[in-house]
Amino acid sequence: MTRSRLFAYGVLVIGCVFAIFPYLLTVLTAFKGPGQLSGTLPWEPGLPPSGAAFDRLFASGFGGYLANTVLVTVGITAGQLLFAVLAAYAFARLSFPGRDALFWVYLSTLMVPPVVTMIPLYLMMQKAGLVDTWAGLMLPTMLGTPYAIFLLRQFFRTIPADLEDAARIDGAGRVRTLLLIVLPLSKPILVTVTTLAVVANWNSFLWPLIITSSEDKRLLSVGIALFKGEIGVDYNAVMAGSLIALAPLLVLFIFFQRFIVRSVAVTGLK
Amino acid sequence: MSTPLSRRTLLLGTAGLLGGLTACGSSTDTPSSNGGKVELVYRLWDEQQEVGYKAVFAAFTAENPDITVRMEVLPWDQYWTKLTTELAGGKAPDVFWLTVENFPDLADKGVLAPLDDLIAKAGLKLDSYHPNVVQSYKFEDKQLGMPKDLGVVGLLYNKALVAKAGITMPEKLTWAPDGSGSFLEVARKLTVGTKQWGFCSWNHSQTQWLNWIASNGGQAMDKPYGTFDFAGQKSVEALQFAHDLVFKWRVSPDGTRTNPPTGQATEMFYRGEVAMFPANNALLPFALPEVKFPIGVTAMPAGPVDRTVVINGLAEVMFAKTKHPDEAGKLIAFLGSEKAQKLMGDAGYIIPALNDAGAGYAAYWKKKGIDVQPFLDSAAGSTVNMPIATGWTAKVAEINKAVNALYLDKADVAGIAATMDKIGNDK
Amino acid sequence: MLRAAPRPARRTQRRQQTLAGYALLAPSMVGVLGFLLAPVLIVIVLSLFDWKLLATPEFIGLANYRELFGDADVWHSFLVTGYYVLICVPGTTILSLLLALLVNRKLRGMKYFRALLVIPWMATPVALGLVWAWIFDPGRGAINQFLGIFGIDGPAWLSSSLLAMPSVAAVHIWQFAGYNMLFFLAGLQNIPASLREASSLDGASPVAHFFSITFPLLRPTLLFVLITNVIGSFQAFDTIFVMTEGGPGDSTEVATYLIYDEAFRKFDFGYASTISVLLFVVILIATISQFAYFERRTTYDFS
Repeated sequence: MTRSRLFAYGVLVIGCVFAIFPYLLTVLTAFKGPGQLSGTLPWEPGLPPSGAAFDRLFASGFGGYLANTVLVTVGITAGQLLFAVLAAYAFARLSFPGRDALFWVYLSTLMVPPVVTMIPLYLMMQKAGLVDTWAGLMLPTMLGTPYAIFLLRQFFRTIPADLEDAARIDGAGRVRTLLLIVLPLSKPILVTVTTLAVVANWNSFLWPLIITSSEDKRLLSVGIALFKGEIGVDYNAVMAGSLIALAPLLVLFIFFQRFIVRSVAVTGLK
Repeated sequence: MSTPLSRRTLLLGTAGLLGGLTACGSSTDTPSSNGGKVELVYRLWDEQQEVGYKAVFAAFTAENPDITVRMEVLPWDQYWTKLTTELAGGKAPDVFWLTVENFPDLADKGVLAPLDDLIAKAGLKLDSYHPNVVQSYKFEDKQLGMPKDLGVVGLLYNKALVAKAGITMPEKLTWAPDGSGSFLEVARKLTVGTKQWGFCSWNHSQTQWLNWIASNGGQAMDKPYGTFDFAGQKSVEALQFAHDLVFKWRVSPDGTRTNPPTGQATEMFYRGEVAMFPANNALLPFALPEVKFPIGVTAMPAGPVDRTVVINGLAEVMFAKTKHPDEAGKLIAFLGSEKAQKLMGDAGYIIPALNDAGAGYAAYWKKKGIDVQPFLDSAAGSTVNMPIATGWTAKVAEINKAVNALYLDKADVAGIAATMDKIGNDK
Repeated sequence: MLRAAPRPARRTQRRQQTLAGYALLAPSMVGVLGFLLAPVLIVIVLSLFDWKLLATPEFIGLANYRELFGDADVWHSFLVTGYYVLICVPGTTILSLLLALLVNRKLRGMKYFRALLVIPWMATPVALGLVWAWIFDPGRGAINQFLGIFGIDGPAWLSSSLLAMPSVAAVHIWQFAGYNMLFFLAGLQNIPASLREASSLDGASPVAHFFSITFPLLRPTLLFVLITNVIGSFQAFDTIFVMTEGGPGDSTEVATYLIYDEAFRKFDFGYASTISVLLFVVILIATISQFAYFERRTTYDFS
């Protein structure tokens, strides 16, 4: 028992070292001052640590980008979660004509690379007068992504149908069954979907860059990329920016973990 | 299978949508003028220069109280992606930055407004700007770009390493394809073991092989939009020299360390692993905070036909379909004025494209301990333009990629040169 | 399968389900059809057009497709893409499943380990490109310095036509293994306790237990992971663009790189759309095959 536990820890530590090593370089670089980057190897710390890169970052308006990113992420994620749950439930549990065809239509939208669909989408937004607006930035993803819908559908389908049937015999309607039976049983996946959405929206880069122009709508990822120039790269500022971008995600992730519990066991399913 | 929409409806619908989407062309979505006031959008990719332009636009608005300028700074890597997407919808910023390499495609497609009339009207004269920059933004005898600045190639060197080797930089470095000349001699003395190289010969057209070709008396191409001649004898000799610096005389790291996109050539200079490093003067503001040694500047080595350096200037261009042609024209004219160019030059950001406006630039860098006079002298001497051709955006990327092989010793030089010509002269 | 004519009560129930189904789908239909499907359809229509920058699209029928079939670069890029997919999908899937089994254990501090493992996927893309350049640098890079400890003279990873592809694929796997682990973890957590305990009481070995109980129950998750990974690796672009730009030579020139090149360097949106349609068809076939294989063999009713 102890040996297996020791082995597990050993593998975990090795895995984590691989996972975070590149990010270690990011952290170290973020705290290097002028001249320290070229004076040290990437995986050596710059001593004494310097906050100069962070100063440059915030002097460029990074605080505002941070606020924008929080707002956009919360807004899009909330919408995505709500509408994806509704759609996934319909796909997983209800049977109606056109369901499978529609599901394939949803999936097929993932199969054309964004680098080329971006142009028509931009043209549509332009036609709708939504270029450089919050709506143009958020609308395409906030009504539920096929990705999240697909993921939730796969999980809803693993929930034994007779649980729901039992509730329905008790007279609960569709929405109540969803709320009272399905969702509590799906906590792990809901947490996962939320995490996915938060991270994807937080880091989303190309679409915000294309659709918005004003500085008052600029997001974090774009603000970081500004430090990688044509001729010179401000490595320290790029790394400081991505460190700031990562920190909230990490905290949130650890916090969300509390909800990934064996909910099925908790609800006392036979 | 019953879909909610029939395929036919969808096809017809989208075809109609497409027609509607692309048949439009305006500079901005929402009218940006209110009560006679106009806001122009000025797009650039350099965060450092953004600071300088704040002063420039303040001065502009002081002269033109009804026009304000909003700056849009974009990351360099995505600048072109965004511009292209916008142009697909017939939209672009009123005034924006352009490089020589991206000029031909935009000029060819009618994106850029001709500036000759407004230049004349504003009392500016094109021959008072550096001729290379003026020439680079000329298309079918029309001036489509206002010369903004000069990117001049000079040789940066690590003064600490030079002092350690006990060398005094010769007044004039020389090179020749056979390896004679003072440049190689100095490079050899500055090469120590396998950790320090005297020079960095790497795949960067503007600061590297185009200069060797020009100063060897070769021509990358006969004239703008002309025929490429990388396979010509003088060009091949020059490319061979670039190759030999790495693989024959071993005074430079090879392409495994330096090839784009992940190569670390500039960083190797910053770290003191490379002693001499050709660079565009625009690198200075980025290099200075990164290095721990004093930076020396000298002119590029002179070849068999003396010294010839590449000039790569930027231009400000005006969108042909801007909603505010008059106001944007005023802005363009102001940007070309001595006042605007000196504001940027005196603050050390750029060497103004305007002739004899570089004194402030030199003074600024003198205070930082760097003598930039060799850049200014080189610009006033024999110079050559970056080559341009139709469809250049795609071709230049492909040519640059092909040249990576040169620095890996993967193919014979003549073969690589032939490939470059084939790509360049296609169609 | 034939069915008896529905009785009125069942018909009402079906109508109700249809109504409920579309009501629940309504918001996402606006989003997906309006903002995601429409651009895809436009891309398909555009593939029939000659459309250059700033010009009006001109209908040219199947001319782009004729060009496509004779275009050696396109076929090469699809081979390269296939190679990439063949490294990335099994690599990511197997690694992420193993990680999930590992982090599904109840160990002290597990939530921190999980967080560290998903960091690669949370990282800002811009920073990553720069960091990888440092790591792969053959002279001073972390990998070759590490190999140097054991006296191995590491190769020039990204400058070798042979090694460049496995290198960028390794970065892909690095980036997405922890991410896909999350799905398997959620899948494992969703397995009813009764089933988990059942066979451990039988005294079955952990491996036997995994293949007889756990793995079949993970099939829906596996299907999701496989499909999204296949789609994702067919469309991989960012990492390749910052690490190799398709090089050396054309050894990492994947389909999306070609599409980008056509659209944003050659300004040929019509032809870029045509290549995209081909990519779409390939991905669609790959996806349908996986569905056909899995849905046939998966039973969901295990209560």
